[in-house]
Amino acid sequence: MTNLGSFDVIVIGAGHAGIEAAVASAKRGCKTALMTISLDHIGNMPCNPSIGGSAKGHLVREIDALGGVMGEAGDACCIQMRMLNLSKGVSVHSPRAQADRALYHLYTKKIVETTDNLHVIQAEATDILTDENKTVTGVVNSFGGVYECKAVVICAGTFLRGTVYIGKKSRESGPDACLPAAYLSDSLESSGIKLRRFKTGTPCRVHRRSIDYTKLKAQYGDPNPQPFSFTAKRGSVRNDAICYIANTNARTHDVIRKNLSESPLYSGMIHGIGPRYCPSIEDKVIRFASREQHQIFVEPTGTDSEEMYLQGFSTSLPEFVQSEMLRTVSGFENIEIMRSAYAIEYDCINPTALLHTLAFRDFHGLYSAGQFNGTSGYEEAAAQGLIAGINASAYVLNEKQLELSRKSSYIGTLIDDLVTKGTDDPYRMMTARSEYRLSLRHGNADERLTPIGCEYRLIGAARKQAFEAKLQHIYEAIDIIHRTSVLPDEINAYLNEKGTSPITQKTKLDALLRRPQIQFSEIRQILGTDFALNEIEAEEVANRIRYEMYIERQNQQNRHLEELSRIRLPLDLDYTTVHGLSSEAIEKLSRIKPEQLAQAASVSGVSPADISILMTWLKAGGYSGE
Amino acid sequence: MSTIAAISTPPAVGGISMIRISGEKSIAVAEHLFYATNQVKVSEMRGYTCAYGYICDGNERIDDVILTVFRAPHSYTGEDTVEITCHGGLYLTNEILHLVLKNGAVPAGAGEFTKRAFLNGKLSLSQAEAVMNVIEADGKAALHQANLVKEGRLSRQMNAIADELIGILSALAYWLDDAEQFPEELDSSRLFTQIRDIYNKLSDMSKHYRDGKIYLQGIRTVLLGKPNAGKSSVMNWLCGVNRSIVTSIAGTTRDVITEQVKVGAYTLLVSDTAGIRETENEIETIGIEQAMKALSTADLVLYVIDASVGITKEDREVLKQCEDTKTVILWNKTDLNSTEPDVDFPHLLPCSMIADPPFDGLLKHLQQLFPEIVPNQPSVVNERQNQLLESAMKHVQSAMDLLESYGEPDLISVDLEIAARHLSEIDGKDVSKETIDGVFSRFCVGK
Repeated sequence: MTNLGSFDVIVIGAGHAGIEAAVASAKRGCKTALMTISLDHIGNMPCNPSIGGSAKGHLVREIDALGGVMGEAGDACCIQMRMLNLSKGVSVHSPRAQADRALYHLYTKKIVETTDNLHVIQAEATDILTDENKTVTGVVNSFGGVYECKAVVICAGTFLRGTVYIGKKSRESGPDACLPAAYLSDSLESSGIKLRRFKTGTPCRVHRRSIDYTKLKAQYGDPNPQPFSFTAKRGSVRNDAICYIANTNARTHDVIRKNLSESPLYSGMIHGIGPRYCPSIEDKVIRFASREQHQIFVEPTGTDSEEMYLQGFSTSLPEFVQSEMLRTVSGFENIEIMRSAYAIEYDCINPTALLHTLAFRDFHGLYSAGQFNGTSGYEEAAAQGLIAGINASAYVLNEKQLELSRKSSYIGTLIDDLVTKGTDDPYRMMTARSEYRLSLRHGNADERLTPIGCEYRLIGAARKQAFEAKLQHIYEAIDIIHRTSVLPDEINAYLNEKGTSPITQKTKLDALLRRPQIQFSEIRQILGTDFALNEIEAEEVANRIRYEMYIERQNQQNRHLEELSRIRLPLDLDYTTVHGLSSEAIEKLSRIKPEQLAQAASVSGVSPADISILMTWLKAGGYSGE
Repeated sequence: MSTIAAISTPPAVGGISMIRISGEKSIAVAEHLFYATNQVKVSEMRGYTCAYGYICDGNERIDDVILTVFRAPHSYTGEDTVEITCHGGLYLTNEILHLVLKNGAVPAGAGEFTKRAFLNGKLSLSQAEAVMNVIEADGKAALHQANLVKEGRLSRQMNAIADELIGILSALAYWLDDAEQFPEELDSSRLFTQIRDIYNKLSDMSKHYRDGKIYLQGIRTVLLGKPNAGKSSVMNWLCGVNRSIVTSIAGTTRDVITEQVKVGAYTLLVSDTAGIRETENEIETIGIEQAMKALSTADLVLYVIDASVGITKEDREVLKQCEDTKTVILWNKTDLNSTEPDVDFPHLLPCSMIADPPFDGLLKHLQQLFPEIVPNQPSVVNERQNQLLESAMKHVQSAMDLLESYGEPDLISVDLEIAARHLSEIDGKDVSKETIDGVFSRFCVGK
């Protein structure tokens, strides 16, 4: 075997997880290699040409706040930007961009190519080398070349033993006709890592000219859109692309029902578990038989491409059925399919094999992120990639590992869900997954995470300074508001105009600002108080005042779990020696090996009495925890 | 750490019970509800001292008690601790515990006093093993209790409401997260109706909790009758002790005395009241008012009539006021020159407290009047569950207020989630997971 070089960290896979992992590791000072099967598919978007969306937009903002790549790249390649959920409360507002996928590939390729310390290599990883202590020592490529390294981050996406299905025909393949990674699975399994099969699907791409847009509803970007990155100015992204909405109908559903036996899912050929949130069109028609129509979103894949993506229309039915069903849709009578919809099945792990750092429990220096961990989505992948990259480099540099709490972020929630509960289907982030969702707004992601980004050397000095100035403006304004009271004469005319009850006595300004009808910007004008805030800062101040009491209540409710999550359990704890635990608790805790008490408490069959016993046991043993 | 409280004596009928409060705020909590007869405040009491006085809920006296103060670290738990020794009886003791919790303590978990004692170094390491055994025993008892509770009707009801809430939460979560497919506007009037419906169910349950408590902890019984009809003799017979002053001077029983007595499988919480009689004596008037007040919350009236006198106009008037309450007439003093009962009443029991106490007769009437009571039923309703129920109601109420004041949907979803978590706490359902499962199973998620 030839030695092809020596690195601190090797990242396997250059998708959205791999890019973040590699850039973070390199920026933090580790000599890093990014290995990919195809340099022409770095930062590929094999599914939807978009970034962000409900809860996913929060993730992108958090990645950006930590100093990751996706926010900046998403802004640079944006062709349409919208803020979703505007009527649903500010904590669930979420930005979403339509992205030019060709440009996104080029843009991210350029980023990884021009990052210091980062070496981009086209090669298929076939083997991860470890020594007798299960410490990572290197990676082997398909031609036998060896790269020495101290840590590996696996970001293999859907490539491991990838199998693509269209109808009942299948072939071994990665996404977008890339080669699959045929060998790495064997290496992982022989090291004792258990793998399982998940599947996901993607809809057709059709030709722009083959659609009658007069029969579709158009959807435009927001005026003055909010970019992902905290460093970008409002309205600074490109925003001229148009999306369209079409609808299926009874005839479409008839075609699907008639051809169901042609589906590899319904005939039992595919065993992989698909994502629940993203059912194929045949799933929707069968499971929700009473619905007369389903929406199809027609999205451009880029400005220099004629391909249009049909969101909501993923299917595993054969090509002839795809075209037959599409032609039943009003506006699609002459549809011209350029890429057929397909399903892809791949190997992934059960993420309970990982710690909150995204390191494998049973190895030293082995990390993983993205679809390989059982998630779905570019944003979920990138979020994990960033954390895995930070921690792989911290491992090499012998620095403190980063673990984000559920309270801190959607990223922390995502990782905690994965490693604590595992997942039975490809995991998608949702705002409902966070019990802290009121305080996890996209707008305060920087306050929550930028200090951590600074601590881990991913944020430059200029950005740090700007961030600190912004926070100071916000804190000062909030302080003024808390100290200000308003007299009835000053404000009642405005309150009446807004249809909210007038005040009868001197009233605190924050109480008024909590009324949903009241706008901070209008109050500022009426009172004439100088707050010295820009538009974004003013919005932050208003949101904070409006939510502060609810957040306090939310935190109150979650305090008990938070306390438990701070109490560490030794990973090598022999639960049979803890006198008094129920046998069910001993069995389950020995298997799951929780990292802290909150995780132990979340295990079904572990009772509050068991947790009391563990807590007492920890104290008795003099084990200090934190 | 929070201030915890629990009844520390076994949940059985006995002479006295003890409630222990431990934690930083225990002295402040006790001060809110205890009035010492010597006027000394709890906060002024030194460690290892007691005081005699009253537990009061506002102006209402609940019981006279002995209160003992332990100052940290010289207590069992090593924290400030107050022990309230009150008259036995589950009903009364629970009322006092309820009051303690209302004033800022939280219910103690299984083995929590012992655990705190241990954590505060009150028990040495060599005693660790013993501590484990204690906690284990508590844990097993708690588990056993939890299993009983699981089978309880009330708990099933709580679960059903939690499921309904989770259904609403799933719909909200779907609406909040599925930005593309769902109409942007929330159907708030429909949501409000759904939430109000849940609120009403919870409030019914809360009422039933009080009722359930009657059946499980005792039938609230009021002893009525004209002066000297023999009420105190009845009381003494029921209690087997000479508790009320029995004299033949009308109007000698002035205070309402509550006793917990067993009649077969039935537990009666009997209030002996001043005789119902028009009177000008001020003290006695208060007693009569108390009697009428006791009637308004009673489950059972034992109405004593002196058979040698027969039923009078006054008796008929009072009995008329008892129309809505289950009533047994004790036709007393049949050993004297008695008249034949001249009233048409379904539950009339001729007896003589002195010569022929009517034990079997009373039991028979009770069985007819309260057929639904299964004796020795497990305690499916307890203060902890009631606390959870009340917290859930508070958050559902807050969601309703938000909806009415055009509050944001994300805030509403958090209130409902907290309410669902409270209701689910008994069997430890994972609300978040169920909500998300609900999104996927009930809705056609678009993307």
